Amino acid sequence: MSTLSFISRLGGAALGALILSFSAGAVSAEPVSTEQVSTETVTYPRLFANAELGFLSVLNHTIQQSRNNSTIDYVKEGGQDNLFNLAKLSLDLEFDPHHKAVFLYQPLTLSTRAVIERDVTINNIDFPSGTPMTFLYDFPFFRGSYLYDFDPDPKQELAAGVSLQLRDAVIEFASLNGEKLVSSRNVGPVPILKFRSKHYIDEKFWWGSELDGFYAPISVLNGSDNDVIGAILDANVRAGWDIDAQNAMFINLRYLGGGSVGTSKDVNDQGDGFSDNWFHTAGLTLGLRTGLF
Amino acid sequence: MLKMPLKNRVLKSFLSALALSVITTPAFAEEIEIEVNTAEPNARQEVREEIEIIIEKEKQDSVSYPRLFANAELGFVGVLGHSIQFSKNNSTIDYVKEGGQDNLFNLAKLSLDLELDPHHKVVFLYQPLTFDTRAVIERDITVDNVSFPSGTPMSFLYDFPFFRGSYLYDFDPDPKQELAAGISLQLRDAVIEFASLNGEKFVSNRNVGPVPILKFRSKHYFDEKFWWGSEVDGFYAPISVLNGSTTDVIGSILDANVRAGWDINDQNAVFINLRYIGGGAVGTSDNPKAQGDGFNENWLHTLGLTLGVRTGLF
Repeated sequence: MSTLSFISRLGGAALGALILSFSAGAVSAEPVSTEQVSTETVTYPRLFANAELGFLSVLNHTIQQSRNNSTIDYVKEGGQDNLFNLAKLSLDLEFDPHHKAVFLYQPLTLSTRAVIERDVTINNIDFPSGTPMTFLYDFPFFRGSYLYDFDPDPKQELAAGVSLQLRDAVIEFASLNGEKLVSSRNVGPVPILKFRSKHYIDEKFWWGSELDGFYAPISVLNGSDNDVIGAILDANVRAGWDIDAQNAMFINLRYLGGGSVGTSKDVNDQGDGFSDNWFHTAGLTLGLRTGLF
Repeated sequence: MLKMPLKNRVLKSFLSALALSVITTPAFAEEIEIEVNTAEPNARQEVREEIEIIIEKEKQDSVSYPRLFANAELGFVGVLGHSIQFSKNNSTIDYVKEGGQDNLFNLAKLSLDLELDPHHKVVFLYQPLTFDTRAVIERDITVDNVSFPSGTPMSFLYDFPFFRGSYLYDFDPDPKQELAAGISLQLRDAVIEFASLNGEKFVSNRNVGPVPILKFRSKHYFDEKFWWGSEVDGFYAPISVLNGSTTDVIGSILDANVRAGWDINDQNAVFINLRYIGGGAVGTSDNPKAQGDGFNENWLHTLGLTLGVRTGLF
């Protein structure tokens, strides 16, 4: 290649770049930021599937059903002083860098047996000291969320939004011989505020947090038509590692707690409808995140 | 001579033909035969060593780190011996002869192997282990001061799942083979129950705690596809603090297996696994419950056989 030819090619390239930059300027008078460039390389919508598996420890858990009845300490008396499997499945649908929807299924079953070591009364049913008992605390929930992400970076996140959770509780106390059973069941929606963040330490490693919480002293808001005060807090911090553009794994430390106190208008034969139930748990899970499209 | 490029040295030395080695690499998937001719025996050895280093480096360079493998196993476990005593001067129960554990039980195992580089590896394991049996007791027994007369139909639950995280240092730089040692931290989550089938009598013991363990793992290839390996996690802890207890308890655990496998392709492998899981504890807890005095002696010996699948996630 001659020097003249090389100079002419260089000049042509420079002229082309100049024309391109002017074209870009005609569309947008502002310079293109790195965030805009990285956003344009991502195709929306995107769907991510997350699966977590680990264990859960009950820090504290008390319940009273019917006024003037016993308050049961599940950890000290009800066999919840063990670890329980903890799984979590969720889908993240990203419409664009700002608008996101999350679908979550959270199984949560604490099924235990123990000999009660004092006389207790639950929903007006007496269990004398020394009675072998089974305790079922089944509280799975489904949760749908909308998040607005204030961070335009498609990898990072600083988002806030709302969730609607559907609780599906079954709480049972039974004597092991099957002669006595107290069963309470409850289904209802729970509106929740949501916050989520994700920040990269470098190209591959990140940490994040997710917080769903609500305190609802007003009956209508917590999905009940009764005078019930309810609260929930599902908060976690996680550290993760992007294996490649599609997959990531993470470790997740999670607090899940909440409860309610109040009197239901749907009184069944066994009690007066009053319930006071609070629980606090800590969980540790390993998770995998994969991009489906 | 060694400062010269390897190619030049090989081409230059053609006085006497001496085949030094036939080396195969997964990267090329074919045999490379190199003839090195030289009059100097020491030089031959040096050339051979340098070739091996280059081939080894080729093999390592062909693998990108970090790598993550998922393993799932399914099979059965037989209880070889299992005895338990709750509270001093109470009965020692033979689970196999008296408690219905003379059958086979499902045995599954899930684990993840995270390889940060050819030497540093992290393993996560979840081991479900549940023996849920029923039998009629054929003698008068007492468990935690609760009496079960002869002829009582009983249910026995021995639930001992555990979670285990391990770090391994692999002394073998070959990305396929392994000769590694390290440590594990296991979280036991035990529920041991005895109940009369009519629900009138019930003894329940629960226990959660960390267990530090030493770990060893190896993997050696017979040829390009077939391999065998072993994995041993074991510890004997006479000191209370070490076995995760604040009480005077002596505990031990041994989880050892030998396995033979076949690499289906670069990503997937199947293997068969013969496994011993055993251990136990003896001592007195500081937290006796209303039912007993806190003393406990429990020893377990099992043998399992599983088929496993290993897949590279990335």
